[in-house]
Amino acid sequence: MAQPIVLVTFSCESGDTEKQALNAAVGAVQARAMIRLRRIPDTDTHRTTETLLRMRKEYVSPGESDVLGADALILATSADTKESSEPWQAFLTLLRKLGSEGKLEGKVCAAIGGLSPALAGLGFVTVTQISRDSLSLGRIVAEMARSLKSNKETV
Amino acid sequence: MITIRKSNERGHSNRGWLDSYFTFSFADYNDPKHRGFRALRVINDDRIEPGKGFGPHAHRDMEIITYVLSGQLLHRDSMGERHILGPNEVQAMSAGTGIVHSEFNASEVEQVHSIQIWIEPAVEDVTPSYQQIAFEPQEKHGKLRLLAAPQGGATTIHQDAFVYVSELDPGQAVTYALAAGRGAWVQVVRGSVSANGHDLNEGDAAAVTAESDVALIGAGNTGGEILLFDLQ
Repeated sequence: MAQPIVLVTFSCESGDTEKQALNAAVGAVQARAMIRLRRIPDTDTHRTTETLLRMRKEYVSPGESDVLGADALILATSADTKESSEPWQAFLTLLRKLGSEGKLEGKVCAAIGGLSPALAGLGFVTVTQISRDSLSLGRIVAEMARSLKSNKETV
Repeated sequence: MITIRKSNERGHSNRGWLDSYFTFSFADYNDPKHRGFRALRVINDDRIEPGKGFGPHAHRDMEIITYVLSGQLLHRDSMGERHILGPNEVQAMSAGTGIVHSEFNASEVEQVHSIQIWIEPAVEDVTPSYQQIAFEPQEKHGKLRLLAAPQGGATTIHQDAFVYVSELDPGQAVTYALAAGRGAWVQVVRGSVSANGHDLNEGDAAAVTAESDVALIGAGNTGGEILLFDLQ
């Protein structure tokens, strides 16, 4: 059966949302998906903490090829992150462009935190987070992506 | 029967920050003749530049053993483990149902030279786990020090496989008895060693089957260090 690719993209300064993103990624792996982990770059690069320096080193930013190559996306943010949050503007602009080109049709997407409204109208099959359990969400997203991918391949 | 796998026949990749030699097929190196030996799937000989490393990535259903020859490796994972691994230590991670981890050179000045080993587990979906043990250098000097096994005295792996390390001075010998039907893989990770009369240099390996023992002797001017895998 087709192995789906799940792109987990998060923004984080303290490390808390990173944990949520990692949990979601592990959930996707449990559902036998391949995962890509990406971090939204900081807009305030002058601020430095040990955690920030580590995350800046360990993660790369999401790019167009990451989105196009993925069967599913999980966007992880803190609860108070809004569609207008500055660090997310470049990535959301990219999603809107790809959405307008029809390139997100059939991809599964879910948000952990505050970005659910930003996913509407882009062509995604959206999954609503029904609990605070990121692990389960990752699993559900991966299973849905696998199902859609298998259907596509059958057709 | 002894089959030699020469160092220069291995796959090779140099990304600048990472210089790797692959004993078996891995990533972009795909050789149908070299996809593993019994449950042993990966032996990667990695040199990682200071401050660089593998960002967070996932594994599932694999026993992953890391052995550092020089430098220090920083491990972090989705179970909350954060450890620095150095020489004369071994790390074993059972990926089981799924794990995300990163590995970086812990130093900003010194290169890290490590061997990453993947062994297929006998069972899938085990609970992920992390183990790290340290040992004294003399425990591997002139003798075989067990690094990983299904149980007892080392890190525990979910496979009927035993992984040993040994450091041999020139002329120093150690013999490993191989039970009927089992196979051994000898990987030279440093210097020179003779295995059942075959001269092996750093990066070389020998697959040993249908033999009752594996006779190892330190060779050359410096002797050598080997990893020995006893596999079902």
